[in-house]
Amino acid sequence: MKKFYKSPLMILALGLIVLGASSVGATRAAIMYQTAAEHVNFSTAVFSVDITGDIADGKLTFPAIENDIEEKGFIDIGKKYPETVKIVNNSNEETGYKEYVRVVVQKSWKNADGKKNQTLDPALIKLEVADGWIINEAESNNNDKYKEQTVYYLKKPLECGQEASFITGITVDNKVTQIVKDVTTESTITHEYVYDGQRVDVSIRADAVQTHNAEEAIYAAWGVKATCSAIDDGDIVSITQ
Amino acid sequence: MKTKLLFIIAAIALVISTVAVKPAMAFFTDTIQTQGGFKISVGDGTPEIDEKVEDLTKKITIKNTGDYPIFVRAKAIYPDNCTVTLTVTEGWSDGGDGYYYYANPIAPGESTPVDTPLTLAITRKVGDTGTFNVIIVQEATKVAYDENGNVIWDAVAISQSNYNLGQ
Repeated sequence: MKKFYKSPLMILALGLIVLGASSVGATRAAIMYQTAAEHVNFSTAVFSVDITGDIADGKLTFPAIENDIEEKGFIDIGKKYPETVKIVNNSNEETGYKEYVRVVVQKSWKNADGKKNQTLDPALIKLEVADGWIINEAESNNNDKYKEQTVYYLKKPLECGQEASFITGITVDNKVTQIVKDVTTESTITHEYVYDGQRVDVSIRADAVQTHNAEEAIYAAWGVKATCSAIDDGDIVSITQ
Repeated sequence: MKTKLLFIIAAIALVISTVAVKPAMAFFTDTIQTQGGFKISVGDGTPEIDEKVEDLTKKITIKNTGDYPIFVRAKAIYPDNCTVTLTVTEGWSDGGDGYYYYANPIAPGESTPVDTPLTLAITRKVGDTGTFNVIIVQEATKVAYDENGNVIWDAVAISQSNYNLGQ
Protein backbone atom coordinates (compact mmCIF):
# COMPACT_ATOMS: atom_id res chain seq x y z
CA MET A 1 0.00 0.00 0.00
CA LYS A 2 2.76 2.33 0.77
CA LYS A 3 4.09 1.91 -2.74
CA PHE A 4 0.71 2.76 -4.26
CA TYR A 5 0.48 6.10 -2.49
CA LYS A 6 4.04 6.94 -3.18
CA SER A 7 3.78 6.37 -6.93
CA PRO A 8 2.97 9.70 -8.63
CA LEU A 9 1.96 7.95 -11.82
CA MET A 10 -0.66 5.87 -10.08
CA ILE A 11 -2.11 8.97 -8.41
CA LEU A 12 -2.18 10.83 -11.74
CA ALA A 13 -3.91 7.95 -13.44
CA LEU A 14 -6.49 7.70 -10.70
CA GLY A 15 -7.13 11.44 -10.95
CA LEU A 16 -7.65 11.21 -14.71
CA ILE A 17 -10.11 8.35 -14.29
CA VAL A 18 -12.14 10.31 -11.75
CA LEU A 19 -12.08 13.42 -13.92
CA GLY A 20 -13.12 11.53 -17.03
CA ALA A 21 -15.90 9.70 -15.25
CA SER A 22 -17.32 12.90 -13.82
CA SER A 23 -17.25 14.74 -17.14
CA VAL A 24 -19.14 12.09 -19.05
CA GLY A 25 -22.84 12.43 -18.43
CA ALA A 26 -24.88 9.44 -17.56
CA THR A 27 -26.17 7.81 -20.68
CA ARG A 28 -28.45 5.41 -18.97
CA ALA A 29 -31.78 5.17 -20.68
CA ALA A 30 -34.83 4.76 -18.65
CA ILE A 31 -38.50 4.85 -19.32
CA MET A 32 -39.75 8.00 -17.72
CA TYR A 33 -43.02 9.80 -17.54
CA GLN A 34 -43.39 13.36 -16.37
CA THR A 35 -46.57 15.19 -15.83
CA ALA A 36 -46.90 18.86 -16.77
CA ALA A 37 -45.67 21.10 -14.03
CA GLU A 38 -48.36 22.51 -11.85
CA HIS A 39 -48.08 26.31 -11.95
CA VAL A 40 -49.26 28.57 -9.24
CA ASN A 41 -49.02 32.23 -10.12
CA PHE A 42 -48.47 34.68 -7.36
CA SER A 43 -48.89 38.34 -8.05
CA THR A 44 -48.93 41.35 -5.77
CA ALA A 45 -51.98 43.54 -5.78
CA VAL A 46 -51.77 46.49 -8.16
CA PHE A 47 -52.15 49.68 -6.18
CA SER A 48 -52.03 52.56 -8.57
CA VAL A 49 -52.94 56.19 -9.15
CA ASP A 50 -53.06 58.09 -12.41
CA ILE A 51 -53.57 61.61 -13.74
CA THR A 52 -56.02 61.97 -16.61
CA GLY A 53 -57.78 64.71 -18.53
CA ASP A 54 -55.76 67.20 -20.54
CA ILE A 55 -52.74 64.92 -20.74
CA ALA A 56 -51.02 63.87 -23.95
CA ASP A 57 -48.04 61.51 -24.04
CA GLY A 58 -47.66 61.94 -20.31
CA LYS A 59 -47.46 65.72 -20.56
CA LEU A 60 -49.90 68.26 -19.22
CA THR A 61 -51.60 70.19 -22.02
CA PHE A 62 -53.78 73.29 -22.12
CA PRO A 63 -56.09 72.79 -25.12
CA ALA A 64 -58.18 75.95 -24.78
CA ILE A 65 -55.12 78.13 -24.36
CA GLU A 66 -53.20 76.43 -27.14
CA ASN A 67 -56.19 76.93 -29.40
CA ASP A 68 -56.20 80.69 -28.73
CA ILE A 69 -52.46 80.93 -29.28
CA GLU A 70 -52.80 79.11 -32.58
CA GLU A 71 -55.71 81.26 -33.76
CA LYS A 72 -54.79 84.68 -32.40
CA GLY A 73 -51.14 84.43 -31.40
CA PHE A 74 -51.87 85.33 -27.80
CA ILE A 75 -54.17 84.48 -24.91
CA ASP A 76 -56.67 86.76 -23.25
CA ILE A 77 -54.85 87.77 -20.10
CA GLY A 78 -57.22 87.62 -17.13
CA LYS A 79 -59.62 85.17 -18.75
CA LYS A 80 -60.19 81.84 -17.02
CA TYR A 81 -59.59 79.06 -19.52
CA PRO A 82 -61.17 75.67 -18.95
CA GLU A 83 -58.71 72.95 -18.01
CA THR A 84 -59.42 69.38 -17.00
CA VAL A 85 -57.16 67.40 -14.73
CA LYS A 86 -58.51 64.40 -12.82
CA ILE A 87 -56.98 61.94 -10.42
CA VAL A 88 -57.94 58.31 -10.97
CA ASN A 89 -57.66 55.28 -8.71
CA ASN A 90 -56.71 52.71 -11.32
CA SER A 91 -55.73 49.92 -8.94
CA ASN A 92 -56.81 46.51 -10.17
CA GLU A 93 -60.46 45.99 -9.54
CA GLU A 94 -60.20 42.56 -7.88
CA THR A 95 -58.50 44.15 -4.91
CA GLY A 96 -60.98 47.00 -4.68
CA TYR A 97 -58.44 49.10 -2.84
CA LYS A 98 -59.46 52.61 -1.90
CA GLU A 99 -56.75 55.19 -1.62
CA TYR A 100 -56.01 58.55 -0.09
CA VAL A 101 -54.65 60.99 -2.61
CA ARG A 102 -52.54 64.08 -2.26
CA VAL A 103 -51.44 66.29 -5.12
CA VAL A 104 -48.37 68.50 -5.10
CA VAL A 105 -48.69 71.40 -7.53
CA GLN A 106 -45.73 73.54 -8.47
CA LYS A 107 -46.15 76.67 -10.57
CA SER A 108 -43.33 78.71 -11.99
CA TRP A 109 -42.25 80.91 -14.88
CA LYS A 110 -39.60 79.82 -17.32
CA ASN A 111 -37.72 81.95 -19.81
CA ALA A 112 -37.13 81.17 -23.47
CA ASP A 113 -34.20 78.93 -22.57
CA GLY A 114 -36.43 76.80 -20.35
CA LYS A 115 -34.75 78.02 -17.18
CA LYS A 116 -36.83 78.91 -14.19
CA ASN A 117 -37.17 82.65 -13.68
CA GLN A 118 -37.37 83.18 -9.96
CA THR A 119 -37.89 86.91 -10.25
CA LEU A 120 -41.40 86.39 -11.61
CA ASP A 121 -44.39 85.70 -9.42
CA PRO A 122 -45.94 82.20 -9.53
CA ALA A 123 -49.02 83.58 -7.76
CA LEU A 124 -50.00 85.22 -11.05
CA ILE A 125 -50.66 81.71 -12.40
CA LYS A 126 -54.03 80.85 -10.93
CA LEU A 127 -55.38 77.33 -10.94
CA GLU A 128 -59.01 76.67 -10.15
CA VAL A 129 -59.32 73.51 -8.06
CA ALA A 130 -62.52 71.48 -7.71
CA ASP A 131 -64.37 71.06 -4.42
CA GLY A 132 -63.39 68.26 -2.09
CA TRP A 133 -59.71 69.14 -1.68
CA ILE A 134 -58.03 70.72 1.33
CA ILE A 135 -54.70 72.58 1.33
CA ASN A 136 -52.02 71.75 3.85
CA GLU A 137 -50.54 75.17 4.45
CA ALA A 138 -47.56 73.68 6.29
CA GLU A 139 -46.37 71.95 3.15
CA SER A 140 -47.38 74.79 0.83
CA ASN A 141 -45.63 78.09 0.50
CA ASN A 142 -48.54 80.25 -0.52
CA ASN A 143 -47.53 82.91 1.94
CA ASP A 144 -43.87 82.93 1.02
CA LYS A 145 -42.26 85.18 -1.52
CA TYR A 146 -42.30 82.67 -4.34
CA LYS A 147 -45.66 80.95 -3.71
CA GLU A 148 -44.52 78.10 -5.88
CA GLN A 149 -45.89 74.99 -4.22
CA THR A 150 -49.34 74.05 -2.98
CA VAL A 151 -50.19 70.63 -1.53
CA TYR A 152 -53.77 69.41 -1.78
CA TYR A 153 -55.37 66.42 -0.05
CA LEU A 154 -58.54 64.77 -1.27
CA LYS A 155 -60.81 64.65 1.75
CA LYS A 156 -62.63 61.46 0.83
CA PRO A 157 -60.96 58.15 0.00
CA LEU A 158 -60.93 57.57 -3.73
CA GLU A 159 -62.77 54.38 -4.56
CA CYS A 160 -61.18 51.82 -6.82
CA GLY A 161 -61.93 52.67 -10.44
CA GLN A 162 -63.23 56.12 -9.57
CA GLU A 163 -61.87 59.53 -10.50
CA ALA A 164 -61.81 62.86 -8.72
CA SER A 165 -61.89 66.19 -10.51
CA PHE A 166 -58.87 68.28 -9.60
CA ILE A 167 -58.07 71.28 -11.84
CA THR A 168 -60.99 72.89 -13.65
CA GLY A 169 -59.51 76.13 -14.92
CA ILE A 170 -56.41 78.27 -15.32
CA THR A 171 -55.98 82.05 -15.39
CA VAL A 172 -53.02 84.30 -15.97
CA ASP A 173 -53.58 87.31 -13.73
CA ASN A 174 -54.11 90.73 -15.32
CA LYS A 175 -51.19 92.08 -13.31
CA VAL A 176 -48.75 90.69 -15.88
CA THR A 177 -49.84 93.50 -18.19
CA GLN A 178 -48.94 96.15 -15.64
CA ILE A 179 -45.39 95.14 -14.79
CA VAL A 180 -42.85 96.83 -17.06
CA LYS A 181 -39.17 97.56 -16.99
CA ASP A 182 -37.40 100.52 -18.58
CA VAL A 183 -34.89 99.70 -21.26
CA THR A 184 -32.70 102.73 -21.88
CA THR A 185 -30.58 103.47 -24.91
CA GLU A 186 -28.67 106.65 -25.72
CA SER A 187 -31.72 108.32 -27.18
CA THR A 188 -34.79 106.41 -25.98
CA ILE A 189 -36.41 104.87 -22.96
CA THR A 190 -38.67 101.94 -23.78
CA HIS A 191 -41.07 100.16 -21.49
CA GLU A 192 -40.86 96.40 -21.89
CA TYR A 193 -43.34 93.99 -20.42
CA VAL A 194 -41.49 91.77 -17.97
CA TYR A 195 -43.77 88.76 -18.56
CA ASP A 196 -43.76 88.99 -22.34
CA GLY A 197 -42.42 85.75 -23.86
CA GLN A 198 -42.27 83.92 -20.55
CA ARG A 199 -43.60 80.39 -20.18
CA VAL A 200 -46.10 79.28 -17.59
CA ASP A 201 -44.92 75.97 -16.14
CA VAL A 202 -47.16 73.71 -14.07
CA SER A 203 -46.03 70.46 -12.48
CA ILE A 204 -48.49 68.06 -10.88
CA ARG A 205 -47.51 65.05 -8.79
CA ALA A 206 -50.20 62.72 -7.44
CA ASP A 207 -49.39 60.42 -4.51
CA ALA A 208 -51.66 57.67 -3.23
CA VAL A 209 -51.59 55.57 -0.07
CA GLN A 210 -53.85 52.82 1.25
CA THR A 211 -56.83 53.71 3.39
CA HIS A 212 -56.42 50.76 5.75
CA ASN A 213 -54.94 51.92 9.04
CA ALA A 214 -55.48 55.41 7.72
CA GLU A 215 -53.59 57.80 9.96
CA GLU A 216 -50.52 55.57 10.29
CA ALA A 217 -50.43 54.91 6.56
CA ILE A 218 -50.58 58.62 5.77
CA TYR A 219 -47.91 59.41 8.32
CA ALA A 220 -45.63 56.61 7.12
CA ALA A 221 -46.02 57.49 3.45
CA TRP A 222 -46.06 61.27 3.54
CA GLY A 223 -44.76 62.30 6.96
CA VAL A 224 -47.81 64.36 7.83
CA LYS A 225 -50.21 63.87 10.69
CA ALA A 226 -53.76 63.39 9.56
CA THR A 227 -56.91 63.19 11.55
CA CYS A 228 -59.36 60.79 9.98
CA SER A 229 -62.97 60.10 10.77
CA ALA A 230 -62.36 56.34 11.10
CA ILE A 231 -59.45 53.98 11.66
CA ASP A 232 -59.91 52.52 8.20
CA ASP A 233 -61.34 54.22 5.10
CA GLY A 234 -62.38 57.38 6.95
CA ASP A 235 -62.49 60.90 5.56
CA ILE A 236 -59.51 63.16 6.18
CA VAL A 237 -60.69 65.75 8.68
CA SER A 238 -57.46 67.72 8.99
CA ILE A 239 -53.81 67.59 8.05
CA THR A 240 -50.89 69.03 9.97
CA GLN A 241 -47.17 68.79 9.44
CA MET B 1 -11.72 32.29 29.72
CA LYS B 2 -11.62 32.48 25.95
CA THR B 3 -15.07 30.89 25.65
CA LYS B 4 -16.46 33.36 28.17
CA LEU B 5 -15.16 36.28 26.11
CA LEU B 6 -16.74 34.89 22.97
CA PHE B 7 -20.10 34.56 24.74
CA ILE B 8 -19.92 38.19 25.87
CA ILE B 9 -19.12 39.41 22.36
CA ALA B 10 -21.95 37.33 20.92
CA ALA B 11 -24.39 38.73 23.48
CA ILE B 12 -23.40 42.33 22.68
CA ALA B 13 -23.81 41.69 18.95
CA LEU B 14 -27.26 40.21 19.56
CA VAL B 15 -28.38 43.20 21.61
CA ILE B 16 -27.08 45.68 19.02
CA SER B 17 -28.75 43.92 16.14
CA THR B 18 -32.06 43.73 18.01
CA VAL B 19 -32.05 47.43 18.80
CA ALA B 20 -30.78 48.58 15.40
CA VAL B 21 -33.31 46.81 13.25
CA LYS B 22 -36.59 48.74 13.18
CA PRO B 23 -39.83 46.93 12.63
CA ALA B 24 -40.45 46.93 8.91
CA MET B 25 -43.92 48.20 8.03
CA ALA B 26 -45.13 48.28 4.46
CA PHE B 27 -47.98 50.35 3.09
CA PHE B 28 -49.33 50.37 -0.42
CA THR B 29 -48.31 53.57 -2.14
CA ASP B 30 -48.03 54.89 -5.67
CA THR B 31 -47.03 58.14 -7.32
CA ILE B 32 -47.22 59.74 -10.76
CA GLN B 33 -46.12 63.08 -12.13
CA THR B 34 -46.83 65.26 -15.13
CA GLN B 35 -45.74 68.68 -16.29
CA GLY B 36 -46.63 71.17 -18.98
CA GLY B 37 -46.85 74.83 -19.89
CA PHE B 38 -47.40 77.52 -22.47
CA LYS B 39 -45.90 80.84 -23.51
CA ILE B 40 -47.65 84.14 -22.98
CA SER B 41 -47.28 87.26 -25.09
CA VAL B 42 -47.83 90.71 -23.69
CA GLY B 43 -47.52 93.81 -25.82
CA ASP B 44 -49.11 97.01 -26.95
CA GLY B 45 -51.31 97.74 -29.89
CA THR B 46 -50.33 100.91 -31.71
CA PRO B 47 -53.11 103.34 -32.73
CA GLU B 48 -52.82 105.09 -36.09
CA ILE B 49 -55.08 108.02 -36.84
CA ASP B 50 -56.90 108.92 -40.04
CA GLU B 51 -58.49 112.37 -40.20
CA LYS B 52 -60.78 113.92 -42.76
CA VAL B 53 -61.80 117.59 -42.57
CA GLU B 54 -65.03 118.78 -44.12
CA ASP B 55 -66.34 122.31 -43.49
CA LEU B 56 -64.55 122.75 -40.16
CA THR B 57 -65.57 119.28 -39.00
CA LYS B 58 -62.98 116.63 -38.33
CA LYS B 59 -63.99 113.03 -38.90
CA ILE B 60 -61.54 110.68 -37.28
CA THR B 61 -60.98 106.95 -37.34
CA ILE B 62 -58.26 105.14 -35.44
CA LYS B 63 -56.67 101.91 -36.63
CA ASN B 64 -54.98 99.27 -34.48
CA THR B 65 -51.67 98.55 -36.21
CA GLY B 66 -50.35 96.35 -33.42
CA ASP B 67 -50.71 92.68 -32.55
CA TYR B 68 -53.06 92.98 -29.58
CA PRO B 69 -56.61 94.28 -29.10
CA ILE B 70 -56.79 97.83 -27.77
CA PHE B 71 -59.13 100.45 -26.46
CA VAL B 72 -58.61 103.87 -28.00
CA ARG B 73 -59.31 107.46 -27.03
CA ALA B 74 -58.55 110.80 -28.61
CA LYS B 75 -58.00 114.35 -27.45
CA ALA B 76 -58.32 117.61 -29.32
CA ILE B 77 -55.73 120.28 -28.65
CA TYR B 78 -56.81 123.69 -29.88
CA PRO B 79 -56.21 127.41 -29.22
CA ASP B 80 -58.50 129.82 -27.40
CA ASN B 81 -59.84 131.38 -30.57
CA CYS B 82 -61.98 128.32 -31.35
CA THR B 83 -64.08 125.65 -29.68
CA VAL B 84 -64.40 121.94 -30.43
CA THR B 85 -67.65 120.11 -29.91
CA LEU B 86 -68.33 116.41 -30.12
CA THR B 87 -71.10 115.31 -32.42
CA VAL B 88 -72.12 112.06 -30.81
CA THR B 89 -71.84 109.02 -33.03
CA GLU B 90 -72.32 105.38 -32.12
CA GLY B 91 -69.58 104.11 -29.82
CA TRP B 92 -68.00 107.51 -29.11
CA SER B 93 -68.53 109.51 -25.94
CA ASP B 94 -67.00 112.45 -24.09
CA GLY B 95 -65.20 111.15 -21.00
CA GLY B 96 -65.35 114.57 -19.34
CA ASP B 97 -61.59 114.47 -18.81
CA GLY B 98 -60.65 116.05 -22.12
CA TYR B 99 -60.70 112.72 -23.97
CA TYR B 100 -63.22 111.14 -26.30
CA TYR B 101 -63.52 107.40 -25.77
CA TYR B 102 -64.52 104.62 -28.12
CA ALA B 103 -66.43 101.98 -26.19
CA ASN B 104 -65.46 98.81 -28.01
CA PRO B 105 -62.12 97.04 -28.31
CA ILE B 106 -60.33 97.29 -31.63
CA ALA B 107 -58.85 94.06 -32.92
CA PRO B 108 -55.42 94.02 -34.58
CA GLY B 109 -55.70 95.43 -38.10
CA GLU B 110 -59.19 96.83 -37.45
CA SER B 111 -60.34 100.45 -37.20
CA THR B 112 -63.05 102.33 -35.44
CA PRO B 113 -66.08 102.39 -37.81
CA VAL B 114 -65.73 104.62 -40.84
CA ASP B 115 -69.49 105.24 -41.00
CA THR B 116 -69.62 106.45 -37.40
CA PRO B 117 -66.30 108.28 -36.97
CA LEU B 118 -65.29 110.49 -34.10
CA THR B 119 -66.88 113.72 -35.30
CA LEU B 120 -65.61 117.01 -33.93
CA ALA B 121 -67.16 120.30 -35.02
CA ILE B 122 -64.79 123.25 -34.86
CA THR B 123 -66.20 126.71 -34.33
CA ARG B 124 -64.16 129.85 -34.71
CA LYS B 125 -64.94 132.59 -32.17
CA VAL B 126 -66.92 135.48 -33.56
CA GLY B 127 -64.69 138.19 -34.95
CA ASP B 128 -61.54 136.09 -35.01
CA THR B 129 -59.64 136.18 -38.26
CA GLY B 130 -56.33 134.48 -37.48
CA THR B 131 -55.21 131.00 -38.44
CA PHE B 132 -55.21 128.09 -36.03
CA ASN B 133 -54.55 124.37 -35.80
CA VAL B 134 -56.62 121.71 -34.10
CA ILE B 135 -54.44 118.74 -33.30
CA ILE B 136 -55.88 115.35 -32.50
CA VAL B 137 -53.86 113.03 -30.28
CA GLN B 138 -54.84 109.39 -30.22
CA GLU B 139 -53.95 106.96 -27.45
CA ALA B 140 -54.43 103.25 -26.85
CA THR B 141 -54.44 100.82 -23.99
CA LYS B 142 -54.49 97.03 -23.90
CA VAL B 143 -57.76 95.25 -23.57
CA ALA B 144 -58.13 93.36 -20.31
CA TYR B 145 -60.53 90.53 -19.59
CA ASP B 146 -62.39 89.30 -16.56
CA GLU B 147 -62.34 85.59 -15.73
CA ASN B 148 -65.40 84.97 -17.88
CA GLY B 149 -63.57 86.35 -20.89
CA ASN B 150 -65.58 89.58 -20.95
CA VAL B 151 -63.77 92.78 -21.76
CA ILE B 152 -63.13 94.98 -18.76
CA TRP B 153 -63.86 98.55 -19.73
CA ASP B 154 -64.11 100.61 -16.57
CA ALA B 155 -60.98 99.48 -14.75
CA VAL B 156 -58.68 99.73 -17.71
CA ALA B 157 -59.99 102.21 -20.23
CA ILE B 158 -60.62 105.03 -17.80
CA SER B 159 -57.27 104.68 -16.08
CA GLN B 160 -55.03 107.46 -17.39
CA SER B 161 -51.77 105.68 -16.71
CA ASN B 162 -52.55 102.74 -18.97
CA TYR B 163 -52.45 104.61 -22.26
CA ASN B 164 -49.66 104.89 -24.72
CA LEU B 165 -49.44 107.40 -27.51
CA GLY B 166 -50.07 106.52 -31.09
CA GLN B 167 -48.03 107.21 -34.19
